[in-house]
Amino acid sequence: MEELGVALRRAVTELGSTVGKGALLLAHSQLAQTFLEIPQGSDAVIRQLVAREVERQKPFSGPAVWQDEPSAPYGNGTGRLLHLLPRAVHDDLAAAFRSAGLQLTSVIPVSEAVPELNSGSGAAGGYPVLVGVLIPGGIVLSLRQRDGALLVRSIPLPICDPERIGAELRRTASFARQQFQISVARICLAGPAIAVEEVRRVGASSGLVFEVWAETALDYWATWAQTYGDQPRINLLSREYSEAPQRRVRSLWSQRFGLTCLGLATVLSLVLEFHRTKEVADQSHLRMELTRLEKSVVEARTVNDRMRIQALLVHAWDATVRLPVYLWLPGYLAERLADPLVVTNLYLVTQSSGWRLRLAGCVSSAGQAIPDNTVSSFLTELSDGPLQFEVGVADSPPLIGRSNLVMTGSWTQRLEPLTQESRPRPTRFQLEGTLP
Amino acid sequence: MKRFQGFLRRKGPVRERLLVLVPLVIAAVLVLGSSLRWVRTVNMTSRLTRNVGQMERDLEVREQFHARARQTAIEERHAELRERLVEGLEGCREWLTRVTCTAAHHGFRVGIKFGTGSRLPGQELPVDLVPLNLEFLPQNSSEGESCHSAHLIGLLYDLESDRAPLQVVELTLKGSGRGLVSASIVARLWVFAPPL
Repeated sequence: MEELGVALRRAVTELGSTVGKGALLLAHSQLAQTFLEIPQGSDAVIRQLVAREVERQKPFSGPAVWQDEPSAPYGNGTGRLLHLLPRAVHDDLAAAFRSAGLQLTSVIPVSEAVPELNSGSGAAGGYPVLVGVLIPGGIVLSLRQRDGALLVRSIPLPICDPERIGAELRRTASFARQQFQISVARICLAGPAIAVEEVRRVGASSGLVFEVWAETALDYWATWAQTYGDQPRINLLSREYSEAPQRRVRSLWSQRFGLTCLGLATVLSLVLEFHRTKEVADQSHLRMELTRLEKSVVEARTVNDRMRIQALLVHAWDATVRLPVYLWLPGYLAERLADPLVVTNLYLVTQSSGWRLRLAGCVSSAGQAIPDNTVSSFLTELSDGPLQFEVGVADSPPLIGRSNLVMTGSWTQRLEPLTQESRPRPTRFQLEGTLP
Repeated sequence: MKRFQGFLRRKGPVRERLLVLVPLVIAAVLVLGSSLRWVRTVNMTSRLTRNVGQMERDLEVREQFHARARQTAIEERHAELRERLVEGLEGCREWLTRVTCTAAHHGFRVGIKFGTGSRLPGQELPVDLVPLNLEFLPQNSSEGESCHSAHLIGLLYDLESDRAPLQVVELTLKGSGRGLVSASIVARLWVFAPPL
């Protein structure tokens, strides 16, 4: 494999290729093809069965890369052609390409080229045909029906040994007869002209008839590979390896995405942290302000409570206290009181606002009647002051003589109207009023 | 180390997923942590701002109350009233002595009846309003004589100018026509009754 890597590096260097991709048409001693008889079933079932057969029939130890294809129908049977390659060989091939800076895109068994040879030359001779293609280091045999291959074998042997080649051809024809119950109609041989001629000569001596079918030019394989296309029908390149570039790209972009997210998150975190730091600074100012305000409020609350209690006491005093009118009222009344009236009783009591006053008096000479208009002139005297009298009453003494004989409340009293002279004049007066 | 590298090669997809997931998880943790811290800080700031606002309003209301109280000179008036309050039983005795002396000075005998005091409602200060009945009789009234009302007015002036807060509720004067016979005053005395 190292030689392959060296050759590839040299080719890349000499060609100056910048493609970076490479396909491999593989003829290898450990590349095996085998025929499987598989019952009918769904694709998934068939794949499971083939995978099981791969593990059972692989001619080497270790894991394998493989691909199968449906074989051409024969009789009533169906089968599949299985191509197998050791995983280690596959990895070595991929490593050799990678060492040359190439991405291996496909590993195609050389047997894939045989149908092209077949279609390139005339197939008028009829089927089934056993095609043998001499390649460097061996021969590829393909037993083909009209609509596809029944059998493919890659046999590593020196192409300069025509007897062994002839023997392999005979053995393959016998196997086809036994396995598929078909007789090979003709045997076609392709390859370098000298080798083909040698094999034909030896075969003729042993009773085999060969058609020399095509002479493969030295650049046939390269030409075939170029025209084969990008999507080979059989590609033994493992899925992991073939998808590796996409996976690498996907992984790269995923990592970039992750790192971008990480970067954005870091930036966002820094921005948030910056704002948070500002908020914390604001908080410290607010806390200082709050502490100051709390202190002020506590002080104010203490003063408030004290003032509220003080106000309650003061308001209670204000609500009950009245102007001390009793200090000046006796003197004031004495000044206004006209002779011969005297005040004998003065009653002063607080009310909802101000004072209520009741005073009573008589004439200075005891028992004398109050002269006419004396009380009214006293009231007139007081009217220009703060006193407001509502009621002025002059009391009469009890009736003497006949009046005493009459029962109080008798209606007959009204039968004799009293004259002015007979009506008793009052001896006492009583006044009621208010003071603010 | 080689075994670990081999493990990584075998577990390639896991490593790739880890390479994506780890930054994403770290980013999520960063953003979530920062956001939570920031949100918590902002909430704290808004709470502090609200508290400061409330404190300012509270202080403003209290200052307005102060201003009103100062306008009405509550403190001075309270101090004056508090100073005038008769203090306890001993204060009442002193006041009684003072009144008796003043009344005698103006030519009156005084008879005093104390009622049951009632606590001034809504006060933290223990202030009792003690109802009392003052009966002033001229010192020579036993002979049925009277005196001039000017004596009583002088007495009332002196009682008014006394520092004790005496609140007159009723005043009854009785005269004979030639002079004052008796004066009766129903009043309430404001007494500071400290707890025993």
